[in-house]
Amino acid sequence: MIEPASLVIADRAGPPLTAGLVEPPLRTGAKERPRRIVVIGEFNSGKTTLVNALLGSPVLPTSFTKHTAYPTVVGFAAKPALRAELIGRRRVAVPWSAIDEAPAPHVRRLHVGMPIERLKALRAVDTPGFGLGDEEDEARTLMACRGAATVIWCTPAMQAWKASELRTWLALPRTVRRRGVLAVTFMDALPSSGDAGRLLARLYADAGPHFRRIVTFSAQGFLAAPAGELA
Amino acid sequence: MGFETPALVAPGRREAVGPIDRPRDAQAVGAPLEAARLRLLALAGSLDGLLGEHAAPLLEAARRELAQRSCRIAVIGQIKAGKSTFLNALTERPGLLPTDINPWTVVVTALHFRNAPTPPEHAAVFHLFSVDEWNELAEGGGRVRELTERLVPGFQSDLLRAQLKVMRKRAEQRLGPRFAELLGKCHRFETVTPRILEDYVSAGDETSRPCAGALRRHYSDITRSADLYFNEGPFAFPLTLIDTPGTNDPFLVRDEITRRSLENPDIYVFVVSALQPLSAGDVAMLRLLNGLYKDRIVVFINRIDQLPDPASDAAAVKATIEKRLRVEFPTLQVPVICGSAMLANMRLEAESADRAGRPASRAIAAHSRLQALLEPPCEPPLEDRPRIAAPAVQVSSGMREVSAAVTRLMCTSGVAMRLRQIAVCLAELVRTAEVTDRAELGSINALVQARRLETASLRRRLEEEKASLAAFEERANRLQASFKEVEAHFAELVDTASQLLRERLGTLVREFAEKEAGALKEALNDRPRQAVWRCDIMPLRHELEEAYLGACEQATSDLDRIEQVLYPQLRLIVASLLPDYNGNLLEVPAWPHGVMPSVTALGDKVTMDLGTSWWSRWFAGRKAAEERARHLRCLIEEDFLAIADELVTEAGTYLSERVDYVMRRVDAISSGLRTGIERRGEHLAREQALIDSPARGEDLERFEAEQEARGEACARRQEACSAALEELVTVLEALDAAQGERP
Repeated sequence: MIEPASLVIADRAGPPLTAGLVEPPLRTGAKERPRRIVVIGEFNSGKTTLVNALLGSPVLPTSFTKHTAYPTVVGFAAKPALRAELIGRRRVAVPWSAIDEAPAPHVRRLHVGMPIERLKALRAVDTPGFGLGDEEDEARTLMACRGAATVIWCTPAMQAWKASELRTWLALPRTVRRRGVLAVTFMDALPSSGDAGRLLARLYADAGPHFRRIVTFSAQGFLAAPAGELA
Repeated sequence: MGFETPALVAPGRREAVGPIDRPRDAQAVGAPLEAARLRLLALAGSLDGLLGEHAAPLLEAARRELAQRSCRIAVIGQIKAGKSTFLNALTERPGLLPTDINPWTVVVTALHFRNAPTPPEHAAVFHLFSVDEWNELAEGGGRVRELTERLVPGFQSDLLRAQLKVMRKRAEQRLGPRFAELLGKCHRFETVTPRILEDYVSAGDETSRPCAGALRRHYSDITRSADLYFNEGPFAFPLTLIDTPGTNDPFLVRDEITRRSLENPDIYVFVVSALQPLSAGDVAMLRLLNGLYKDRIVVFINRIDQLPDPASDAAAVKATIEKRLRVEFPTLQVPVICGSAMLANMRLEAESADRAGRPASRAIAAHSRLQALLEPPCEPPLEDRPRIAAPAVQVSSGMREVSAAVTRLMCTSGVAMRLRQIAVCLAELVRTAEVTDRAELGSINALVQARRLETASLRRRLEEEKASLAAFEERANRLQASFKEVEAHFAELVDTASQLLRERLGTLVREFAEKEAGALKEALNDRPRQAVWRCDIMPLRHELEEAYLGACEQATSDLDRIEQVLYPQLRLIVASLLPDYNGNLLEVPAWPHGVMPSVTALGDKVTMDLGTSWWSRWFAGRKAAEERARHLRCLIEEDFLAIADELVTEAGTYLSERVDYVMRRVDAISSGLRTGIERRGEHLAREQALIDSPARGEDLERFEAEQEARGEACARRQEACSAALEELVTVLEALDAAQGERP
């Protein structure tokens, strides 16, 4: 039986949120590198909000109508920086407004550097959502999952775990799925705590076998992150 | 558009809640059609005495249809979009359909609002699966198996098998080991309670099982359909609202049941959640519906109350969806309405609590939740600011807009078309009656004249009348015979068209399968290790649709051509029968626009719709290029030949309906003629008897009185007919006007 790890965030000054998400190194003696946590899921499932919560700071802009355009890697840097990785791996500095713009075909992903202490231990990757019908986007997202220490699939509590999510998840390579965590987001939208119990009971039965663990996440206080606050 | 200032305000401003006088009449769903329906019903009743017995079956059929016809509105969408909650709000019965945080509705549930004066016999009727249906389902037989068998082993078939096992075990747990005895039964209830509904249509918790001695049992696993009957609802026109389990359900069995059990609704309300509006799955579903229900879809964006900032985010979400719809369907004008079914239900609960004068805890919760929405904490209303100018946070339940949109769509839907057809048919009946009455009046006058003459000339006159009637009858018979021929001709035409269509579609499918198999083989030979190759079946769907619609159009225009030739001829015959006929009785009937042949069959999900993941699995399974190509060809042919068959059947139905419409009018005409002939014939026989009787001198006076009475009756009938005709014309005009009122 998988135990739920609660990720309910009361305020931004809370403890780091990676507890229980980042697994210990697979091999002892492996080189210490920041562990990659890739957050995926269907659109508007709260991926960006979850990434911000992991960082403890509203680094990335969240919106209901503007979807995340590129896989966005957030890692440590001495001072804030935004670079676009182009096709062919070349990286160029771009203005902060680029994070919110319509996707350009020659950009592969974005790299955000932030002077946030916990980024020395982890690297968080936000991704464009599945389910908008853009297969190129989805292929890019799947690429971003490679080599991740943990892959978090976000599913919104009010419409959790649909067949399309199951299908997309099962289409991922087994190696990726072995590192899978199901995050039930927008838990605060549930009308009552009884509902939460019933929802989780179903998710354990239906989705449980496909994930290493199931966590819940409530994003109060993180929803209204303005674009480029740190710029 | 799509917003209204909320009528319900915070508890402190109670007066604004006001008494509940919902706009039942003018704005209720389907009001214009209901007016027409009631007028037609009244007319059909009053025409009974007027039109003679030949018209009786036609009138009876019209009356029955008017009494029973309802507009079918299906509420569809993904799981957990809030379909049941939406229906509770629309029917103004919060808490009627059970709702839950997990996918909860598992049975297609029809809510019948009949507007009938008598209470329904049963409030709820539940049909359980028959033994065969259950076995097919539980063993994973039928289409479900067909679908999964063609999937590569090890993928979803395992999942399906596991799910079926769970379902069987659960049914046994919940209903006891002898649950098979329940199969095939039908359960009826005189009243409907949420508890009963929960037992029959809700998924239920995994843990619910019969306790010892408990009367409650959970039947939903073996319930095939649920019908609820209501005497009155907040709707003008009789409606059948259909709640469906959502699509995109990871429980595959349920998904399959939903898709199969949806009959052709007149209107679809597509419910999407504002939080994840219009996913690829939604778009695919809309695309499949698009062919048939061109302008009979309403998109309802539910749950705007859960957006971070309902007022501005809702507008943004709506704009995004509208933009997306315009890109996806440039020719389609789908009304998009934002709202919150939950807010509507809260409001209803608050209103009913107010009405009862009791505090309701849920209503209070509703008030405070609403208040929070209406007055966001960041912007508290200033004391000196007049209430009316408070920041207009426009949060609407959207129900009124949905009703209006549905009403607009109804006026162009099949229901409005049927009303029109009935009105036209009644008009034909009345006109024919009017004309035959006129002919009879003429013959009465001639008879009375002759009567006053000598017996000899009277007999001569009678003979003439007999001859004239015989000629009339013969011509009427000829007319009827030619009607029969026309009908046979039509039937032949429909037959030929279906045959041609079958061949054409078959060829298309086989050619496509051949081409794709060839392309696959080539691709594999070029790059044997290519990771994923995918066959796009959309072009085949388009080709089939084009061929199908083309064939229907061709057959329709053939029918049109025949009618163009036929009607002037018929008009000549009728004119010779009824010299003073001057109505437009025999105009070529205008087949109502916007009636398209059904393309639902094209929406059938086929294996290859399953997406990239399915294709990659398929590739993992087989090795040789030759075998893959062969398998692909089989797949395409198996899937699409079945669809082609369905299309042919639908084309047949469509064309037959078209022919029926013409034949119904023709029937009305010949039955009217027949009535007139019989009446005159009876009278002639009586006359003959009178003339032959010895005491005919004494009868003269009685005869004249009789004829006078007959003439008066004729005149009265004629008058009533004209009045009825006038009424029918206004009904038709009203229907036209309602149809013209597009946004």
